[in-house]
Amino acid sequence: MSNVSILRQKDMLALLSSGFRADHRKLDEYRKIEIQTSLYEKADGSALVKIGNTVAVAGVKIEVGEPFPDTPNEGILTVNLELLPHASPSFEPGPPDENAIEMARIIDRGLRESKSINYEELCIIPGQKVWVIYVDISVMDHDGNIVDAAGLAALAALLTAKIPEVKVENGSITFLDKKRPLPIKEKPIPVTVAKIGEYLLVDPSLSEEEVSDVRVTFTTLESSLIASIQKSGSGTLTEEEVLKIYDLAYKKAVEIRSKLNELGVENG
Amino acid sequence: MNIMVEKQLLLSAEGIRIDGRRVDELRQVKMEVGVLKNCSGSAYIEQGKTKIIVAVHGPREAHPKHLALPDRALLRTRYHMAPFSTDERKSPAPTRREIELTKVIREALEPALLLEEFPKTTIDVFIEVLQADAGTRSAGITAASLALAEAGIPMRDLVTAVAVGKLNDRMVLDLNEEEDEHGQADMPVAMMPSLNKITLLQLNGRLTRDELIEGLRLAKKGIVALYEKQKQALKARFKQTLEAE
Amino acid sequence: MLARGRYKAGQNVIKVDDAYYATVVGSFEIRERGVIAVRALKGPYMPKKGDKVIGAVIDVSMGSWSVDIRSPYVATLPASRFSSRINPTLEDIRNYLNVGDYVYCEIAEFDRFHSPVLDASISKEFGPVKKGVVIPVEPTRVPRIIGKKGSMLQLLNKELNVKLVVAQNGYVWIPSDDASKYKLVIEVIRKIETEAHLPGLTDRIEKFLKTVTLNKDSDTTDKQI
Repeated sequence: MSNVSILRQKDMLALLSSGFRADHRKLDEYRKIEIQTSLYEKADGSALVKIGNTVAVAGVKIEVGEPFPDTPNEGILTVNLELLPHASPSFEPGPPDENAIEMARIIDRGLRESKSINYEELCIIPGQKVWVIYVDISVMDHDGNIVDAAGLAALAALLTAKIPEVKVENGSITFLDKKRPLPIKEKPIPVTVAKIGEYLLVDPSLSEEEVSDVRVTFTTLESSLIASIQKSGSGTLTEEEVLKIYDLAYKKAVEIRSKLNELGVENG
Repeated sequence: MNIMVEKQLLLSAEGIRIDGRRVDELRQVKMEVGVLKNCSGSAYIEQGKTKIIVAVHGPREAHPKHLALPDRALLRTRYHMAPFSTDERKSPAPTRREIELTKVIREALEPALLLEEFPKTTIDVFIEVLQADAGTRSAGITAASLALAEAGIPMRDLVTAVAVGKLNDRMVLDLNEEEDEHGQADMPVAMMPSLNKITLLQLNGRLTRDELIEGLRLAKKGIVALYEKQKQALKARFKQTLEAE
Repeated sequence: MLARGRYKAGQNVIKVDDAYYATVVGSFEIRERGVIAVRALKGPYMPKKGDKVIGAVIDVSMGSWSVDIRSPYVATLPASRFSSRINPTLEDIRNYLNVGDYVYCEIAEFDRFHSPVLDASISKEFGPVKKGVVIPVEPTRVPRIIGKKGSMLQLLNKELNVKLVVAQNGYVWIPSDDASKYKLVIEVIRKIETEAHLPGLTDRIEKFLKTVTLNKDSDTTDKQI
């Protein structure tokens, strides 16, 4: 860490010892979360999530495609994330870098392992045509904790996405006028906790992220099952800290999920 | 479909896995240090059928100069799978998976290195998977520690890693490829064993809190055994080393 | 982990809480006043002001040479520190040292913020390596090759009838054109490298050298007959 970070870490630690953070939040408090859905007509599903000043937009596009050879009767989900240059002076235009790729894969694993989507229901013509669900996340503003904002946006976009009804006759697909919601069973919520010194902070802001050595993202389900874990950053953790972080993450996920439900962001 | 049948076979009622191991048994491991001549340090590892070779170059002057950090060395890693390492030929171009693993492996090794000893230099770690049979990032980390130690780069501790998984609702140690593909979870863990600190933790799958605890316990057990092997491999390389441990 | 308790951390040892850990693979030593240290078996050469080193010229620019001294940092040898008589603007300094040449010099300056600066002009012993061969050795073994107060080096020079130059950065220069000496010198050096940490090294090397030189003498007597 450069000299500047060390100074800030010292200041940060002094502040944390009093139980509060620079923006007056408690250690286990999230910033204000805003969720808006169905913003972009050309997308089959879309959502914008703000966590404090961090903004992520997710768009879902559902297209007909070919299944993978080893899963001929299953649809496909693919998650991509782009850190737009808009979001930070340090983001350069170009293909996703290791950070963008890591975040996309964390969110992908959370969705995939939670078995939120029943892929067999996405089969159109077995062995030939299936629905391919593209989830593309664009991060517009970076003030810390992109993963949680992006993951929540992806989930909200999927929950409000509409998939066309089709009729299959003699191997040809006809699109009908109706649309139905995507069959989503679980609502995996990623929660990121940063460690600064000995303190565990939920939903790190940009300056907290920069000063932390370790961050852990736990994606949990309603049933308290863990669907994904990712330790990020070049610091270390003890086993006790891992469990403490899980307990924190699960507690916050429950709160966030009920917020999602409140907004009526449900299937259909 | 066949999957149901395969799941039964993964773990028998008596707790025996397809390759005859018990739930808390590691695969057969072989480690060798100092296998390549034109680098600062190198190591080769075989864990079950996974085969990986690691080379370390450095500390050396940072090129391009603007990458250099004024007060410490820059650690760079590359995790790469050889095109012939998997069942289906893999394109040599880096995949998103390799890019993510490159990052998490670097972050698993960094806490162990005393990078402040070599400001304005880079230390490059190259991990090449020659044969992939699950547990590649873990074995890669274990071998990378050996290569770094051979290069004489000062470290707080070695980093040792292993993947634990879940088969038929039971946590198991050191998955092989079949278990990874058809199992219920895959959780790679890396630690600095003497300091009892976790430097890599990921989960692909679903676990309950209790399963997480059991998984960490099993991982620690496997890591302690692998750590002994790492130390033996270093001793063998330096033959008559007087190491007071 | 090396020890717990009231010690002081010496070379290559760090203290975490109340325990001491080795940071490199090496031999463990307890030095005076409770200092625990580890002597590294292998590691990069870290330049130190005053060290005598041998480097390979890797680049030439207008007024200086870039020299590889087998350390993480590339060193510079300014023309003015090669000889005060050179004027780089009037002559091509490649006439004195070119890429690929070896040069024996001293580290005049080095700190954490600047690359090492070499000097070949402060003593007559320094300058381009023109004859003989230069062999690489482990930098961590150099103290053993020199020996306490130079005792090992003296022994080698006496028994092998050479004037070896040992550079701190891991080179031994055999400044002789007698090729028969090279093989022997290399053998002895390698022996020292591998047995460096065992006690009584100097005596064993002495015995080894005496047997070897005896064999050589008997060879020549056979030929005379």
